[in-house]
Amino acid sequence: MSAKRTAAEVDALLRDARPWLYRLALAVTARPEAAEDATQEALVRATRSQEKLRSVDEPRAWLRKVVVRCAIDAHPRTPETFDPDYPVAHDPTEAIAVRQTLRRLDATDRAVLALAHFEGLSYAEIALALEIPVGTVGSRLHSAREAFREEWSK
Amino acid sequence: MKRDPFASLEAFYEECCTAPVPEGIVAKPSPRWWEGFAVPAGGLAFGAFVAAALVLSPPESSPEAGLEAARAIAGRQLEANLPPPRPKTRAIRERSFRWDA
Repeated sequence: MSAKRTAAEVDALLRDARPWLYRLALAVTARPEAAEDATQEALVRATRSQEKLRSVDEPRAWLRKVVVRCAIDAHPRTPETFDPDYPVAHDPTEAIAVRQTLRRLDATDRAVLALAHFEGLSYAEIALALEIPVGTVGSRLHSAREAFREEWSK
Repeated sequence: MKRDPFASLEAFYEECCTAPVPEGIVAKPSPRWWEGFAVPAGGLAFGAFVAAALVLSPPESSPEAGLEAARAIAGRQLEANLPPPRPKTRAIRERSFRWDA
């Protein structure tokens, strides 16, 4: 058990985690506005759970679990709109196609893909973030990848 | 022609890594921002009790105050039931003139 963090340390932790939380939420939702809502909700929950954050061993893992839950539950404000401010570094057509493919997937499939390929987590870490048994992570990841491949080919 | 799906997915994740973070996200929301929605049940119950007591309890009264109130009500009722003043007829005006004289 680690020593208890001070309130200032928790504040700094949340401040520094803000970009990472948003980008992870974006990878899960594939919607900037939903990612913004999910990140803010996660930070509100973290602020309410200051005591938990002061004593938890792995604050980053705890925050990841919260933001992934918020991102899975996030409802899109608009069903299918193209945000011109959305960051597109490579081929915009392909970027739109990826986003649309991801949006057709189940939210948990998107989360598994993001945790494995965006965060590069181990099965144990994915299991912790999604609160599922480690033994099921492999099959969930396989089915998510298959779902993505299938939707992509449509 | 679509690329390999996972190469495209990786490219999307790379873009997420550098996505600008919206300014509207507050790292540490002020407790006041949400405290208003989390009124403790005890406080709410106390507030309801005080409001009910204020609404339901009769005002303090004395016999004099009651009498005064009754007079005021009776006066208003009497005033309301009085017929409008009649215009003075010529005979009345002349009578008053004579009387004044």
